[in-house]
Amino acid sequence: MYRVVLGSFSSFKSSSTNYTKGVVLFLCLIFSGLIFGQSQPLFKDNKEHATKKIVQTNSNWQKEIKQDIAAIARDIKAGNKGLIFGFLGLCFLYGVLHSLGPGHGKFIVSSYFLAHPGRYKSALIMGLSIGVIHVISAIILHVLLVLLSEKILTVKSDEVFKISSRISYAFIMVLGFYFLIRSLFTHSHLQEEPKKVTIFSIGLVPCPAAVILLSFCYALDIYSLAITGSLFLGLGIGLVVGVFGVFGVAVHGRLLKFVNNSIKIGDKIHNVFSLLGNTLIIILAAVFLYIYW
Amino acid sequence: MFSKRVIILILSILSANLLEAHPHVFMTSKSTLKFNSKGLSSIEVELRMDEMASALFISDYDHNKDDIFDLEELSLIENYFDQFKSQNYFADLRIDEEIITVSMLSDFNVEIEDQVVIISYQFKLSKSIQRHTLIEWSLYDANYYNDIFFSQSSLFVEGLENFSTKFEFISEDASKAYYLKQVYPNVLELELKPKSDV
Repeated sequence: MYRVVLGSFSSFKSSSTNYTKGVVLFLCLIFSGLIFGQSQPLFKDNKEHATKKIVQTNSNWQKEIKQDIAAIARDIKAGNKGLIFGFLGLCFLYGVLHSLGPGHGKFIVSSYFLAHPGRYKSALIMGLSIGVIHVISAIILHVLLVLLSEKILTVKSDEVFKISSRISYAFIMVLGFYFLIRSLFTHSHLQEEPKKVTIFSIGLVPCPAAVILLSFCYALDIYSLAITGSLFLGLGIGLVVGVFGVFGVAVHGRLLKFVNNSIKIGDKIHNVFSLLGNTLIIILAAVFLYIYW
Repeated sequence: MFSKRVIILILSILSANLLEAHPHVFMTSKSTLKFNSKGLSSIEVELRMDEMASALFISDYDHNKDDIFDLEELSLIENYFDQFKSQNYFADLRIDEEIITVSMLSDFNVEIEDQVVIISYQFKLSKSIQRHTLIEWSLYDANYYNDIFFSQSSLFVEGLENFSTKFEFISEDASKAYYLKQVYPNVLELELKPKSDV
């Protein structure tokens, strides 16, 4: 089904109607949280069915994409260099679909922009930076695994994922506390938060999907292509994370508009939002820390 | 009106994050439920990893790169696989709604076939069936790191000669939803009655 979205790739031709349907479905998938979020209390009956279909559809698409990435990688290895752009496009799309699940810092980024002022552009840049750092961590991890596996046989990728995830979420939790304390004890609206530290903390977790891609291509001896593909995967992840940041900016922007209309109440609401966003960062980091423990 | 929209937006962000699409490894499964004259004696499970995840697994465990997991490598994999004990080794087995916990695996084996990793193991059970009994069987990773495809065509049963049976395959059973109640497993429902009882 995801192939419909890829209508522009020569190997996956489809009609323009299907292409449009695909784009609509694709956008629906991205914004499904918005759709179902509005009707959460009514989840029990027909909405529940729709939600599980989306989850299953996304999972099936990811499975198909992985199979196609593997097949195309083999073809490229066999000498069909014309498929390189298709390979990179699929890596990007895989990143988008993959990052719609939990993790990858979406919620933390949206909470960050709920709590702190920002622009749409900076939210997108922050998302893309996280995505790219996420895969750079994966590339570093994979290179280390390859080098260490020749020296220390007991190093396993899943152990490294767990440890790095714990460090990252512990770090984010500390940052959340720092933001919270600052918002409680300073009267300014936190104009300059250490955004780079936040990006680094979230991106520190190596993306397992990228490590899997790198391992597969390493076995095929097309490592430079794998690194490029991983970066495209990171851009896909980053785009989704950025979109979540944009949501946060939008909510915060609405708040600021309200503040301008009613300074007295607005100030109070602004402070509540700061507290809410920073508390969410801490809670989320704690939840993920628990999951990865 | 304004605050309602803001709340809706916040809820949207919250709920969107809960939409799971996060498996990193895709596995196809095959399971065989084996019966003897007394009841359910064992279940054999086979899991096939997707090609890309297999590459990472092979690089992690096939140290001598000979495409065969020798005894030492198998022992390391078994240790790794032991972490899934708390998840009942991906098995959701219920007999008359009672969850059956698997204490240990037998015949654990891992092999590589065309660069695909195949994990196989068996649960020894000895569950006697003396009256009308409902068996529910499913395979899934509750952490959703692995998406295990459990389909009708992947299910086999052996040795049902002594029982009258009724099968039903439940597609996406909401009552057994896992991982923040967002993923719905497929479930085999098998009603059995000893023929001597009929």
